[in-house]
Amino acid sequence: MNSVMVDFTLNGEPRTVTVKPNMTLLEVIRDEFALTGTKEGCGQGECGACTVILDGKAVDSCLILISQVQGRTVTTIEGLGKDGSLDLLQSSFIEAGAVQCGYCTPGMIMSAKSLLLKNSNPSVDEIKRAISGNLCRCTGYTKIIKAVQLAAMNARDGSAGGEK
Amino acid sequence: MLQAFDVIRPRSLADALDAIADGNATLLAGGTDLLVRIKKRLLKPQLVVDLSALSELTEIEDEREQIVIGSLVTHGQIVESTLANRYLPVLVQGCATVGSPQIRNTGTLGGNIANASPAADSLPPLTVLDARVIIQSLAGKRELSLDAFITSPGKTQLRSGELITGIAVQKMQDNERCLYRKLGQRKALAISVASVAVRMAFDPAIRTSSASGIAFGAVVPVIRRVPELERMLSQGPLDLQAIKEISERAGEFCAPISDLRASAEYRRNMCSSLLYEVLYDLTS
Ligand SMILES: Cc1cc2nc3c(=O)[nH]c(=O)nc-3n(C[C@H](O)[C@H](O)[C@H](O)COP(=O)(O)OP(=O)(O)OC[C@H]3O[C@@H](n4cnc5c(N)ncnc54)[C@H](O)[C@@H]3O)c2cc1C
Ligand code: FES
Ligand code: FES
Repeated sequence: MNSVMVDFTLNGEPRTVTVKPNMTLLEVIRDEFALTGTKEGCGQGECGACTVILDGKAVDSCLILISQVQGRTVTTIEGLGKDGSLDLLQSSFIEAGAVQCGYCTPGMIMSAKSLLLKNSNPSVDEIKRAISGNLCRCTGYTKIIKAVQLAAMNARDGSAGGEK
Repeated sequence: MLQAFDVIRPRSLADALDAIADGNATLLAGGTDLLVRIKKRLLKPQLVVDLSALSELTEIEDEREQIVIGSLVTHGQIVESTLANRYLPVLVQGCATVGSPQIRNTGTLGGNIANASPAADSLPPLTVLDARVIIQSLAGKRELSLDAFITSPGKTQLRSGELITGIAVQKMQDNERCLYRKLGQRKALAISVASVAVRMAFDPAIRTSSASGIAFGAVVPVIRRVPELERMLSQGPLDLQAIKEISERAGEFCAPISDLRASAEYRRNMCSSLLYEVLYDLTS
């Protein structure tokens, strides 16, 4: 098995890895970069715990081979906050009490983030659809949906006030 | 950890055709089917050819009477495409039901077709649209109707050294209506238990359809149009009684299996119910 060399942008930084070609994006993120916010649940596209944003879109990193990200841009949960402060989605998940065991949370937030990137005022149905690939065994989803609404509202208030 | 294999990532279609010419490579498009099969050890590839650099296969193009969809176009791209929404709404409806947002953002139309699953959600829509599969190899290009392309569950006419480059579909006309409806065990991440796509040229003034297409998914080994039912649709006004009679006969044209998700009998009944709902909605 020959190694592959892959260049991509990870959380805003250009990166090059030389790894075994049978590694998934999830394995590279966790094992090569020690970014362990992204979780592995099912490993088969069913749970969304491994969700990251690839070129602006939510994807399951457990089903992406590392060669597939050549030249592309990946954002993980660690890439959301800036300068030590949390992203609005992260703080609204805390505020709304949308985290219990927390295992689904990074994936959930990345799916919500990909929604807010293209829709700053989503309806409840749009939020449900955006997180429909993410399983949560604890919360019952209600507070997660509230948290996404709260983040969207805060982002709109922030931009209206000219602070962000 | 996936079993060991080598990966090459050709930069152009010509390089890709070279790389697969000897027939020993396994193609990777989005990977949503392939990686699951490798993880489950149903497949043990030696060499994987990653198609992700072939940007020439990621476009949806308007070619006069037809739309040509590159094989690497994702379900998500189709759902968002103005062209597809305008001319192939039934395909948009099918792709919108695939898996989850994450799966739709990765899984491709070419992969869905090559996989040839009886439950694939793009196939009933593409079947009523009489889609053609565009195939290329070093020897050249050929086109097959989707009907001819898929031969049995999971099996296609694709020869070694060939890959699907695109799918060509005639545009739907303004007087045509269409619907795809899928029954799964839940709303998201649900493989189809039964589904139906219907397309018809319907004249609301006389409640009559002049031409139509009907195809069921997940209840036949290979998805095909059902001419017997299609003919019934054109035999007079589609009032409630006619819709009821036509949909009651749906079960005759299905050969469902019983599996973990549903029994054959349930699937047969659901085909009738789905067809009833769809015809009702299309004619009201
Ligand atoms: C969690 C989950 C849920 C899913 N839900 C659904 C669903 O609801 N409905 C549904 O229809 N599908 C579903 N799928 C299946 C899958 O996502 C789709 O079939 C998808 O379209 C496959 O495309 P891909 O690009 O990922 O294929 P890949 O995995 O890359 O390839 C699939 C097969 O096709 C071959 N292939 C790929 N591209 C080409 C080409 N251009 N030419 C020749 N051969 C090619 C590959 O060699 C492989 O054998 C689901 C999958 C997962 C993991
Ligand atoms: S770990 Fe990737 S979807 Fe479950
Ligand atoms: S908080 Fe435990 S799985 Fe969602």
